[in-house]
Amino acid sequence: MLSLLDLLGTIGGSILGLPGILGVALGMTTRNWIVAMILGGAIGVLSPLVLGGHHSAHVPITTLEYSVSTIIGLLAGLVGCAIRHKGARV
Amino acid sequence: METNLGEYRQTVHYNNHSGVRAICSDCHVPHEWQYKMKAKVMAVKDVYHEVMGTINTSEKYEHRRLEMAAAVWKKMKATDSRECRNCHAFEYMDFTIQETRAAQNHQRAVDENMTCIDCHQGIAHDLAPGYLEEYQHVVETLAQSKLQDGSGGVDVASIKSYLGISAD
Repeated sequence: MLSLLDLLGTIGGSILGLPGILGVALGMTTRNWIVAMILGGAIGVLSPLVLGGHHSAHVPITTLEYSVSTIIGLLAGLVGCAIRHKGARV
Repeated sequence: METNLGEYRQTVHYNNHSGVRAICSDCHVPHEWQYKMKAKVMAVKDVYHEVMGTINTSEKYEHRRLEMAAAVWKKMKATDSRECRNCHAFEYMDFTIQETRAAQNHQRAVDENMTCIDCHQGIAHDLAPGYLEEYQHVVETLAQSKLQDGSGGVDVASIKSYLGISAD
């Protein structure tokens, strides 16, 4: 059973990690909301695969980790896109 | 944090023949960025309890020792002792130059898919009374949650046999 602290940690880790940071960055490259979501989501899916491995330990990446990472990636993409839209009006 | 720091300073991870030191973060904070950030977020709880004085006397510390140890064991068991394996990996071990007992047990651990924390619970901090039962409980809880997730279970029987507890 996953604890609330573990869930918060997973969400925080994703926001401060690749899905959050690169998601926003990629989201800012487009004004199309759908494309921004796809870019952010793709980073969210790839992130646990790219950064989750270890040279010796065999740590399974859980469904929840994938889900949280993907959702954070999608949201980060949307935030990036919103920044792009807002920036275009200034 | 003074009690556990003092205990750690009496261990081989602090002073040893090779002069290599493992500091707190080497064992408690993952190297991988994603999991490192997760650990930092979760450490807010530790800061809160440090500020609130939850374990600021030896009596309070001893009262919570087993609970705190179990939380770390659970994390280590779930992550296949990832932080231990940053320095100690079965792949890099030369069993021929280890003590006979260590070599036998490490080979057994490889064969039975065990992980570092299955045997090395008190490697850096003192152990509370009843720690074996608590560790067994941690292993069983994780095995159950893994079965519920459908991701397969850990080999509880082999760990029980190693700990000298009869497998039911």
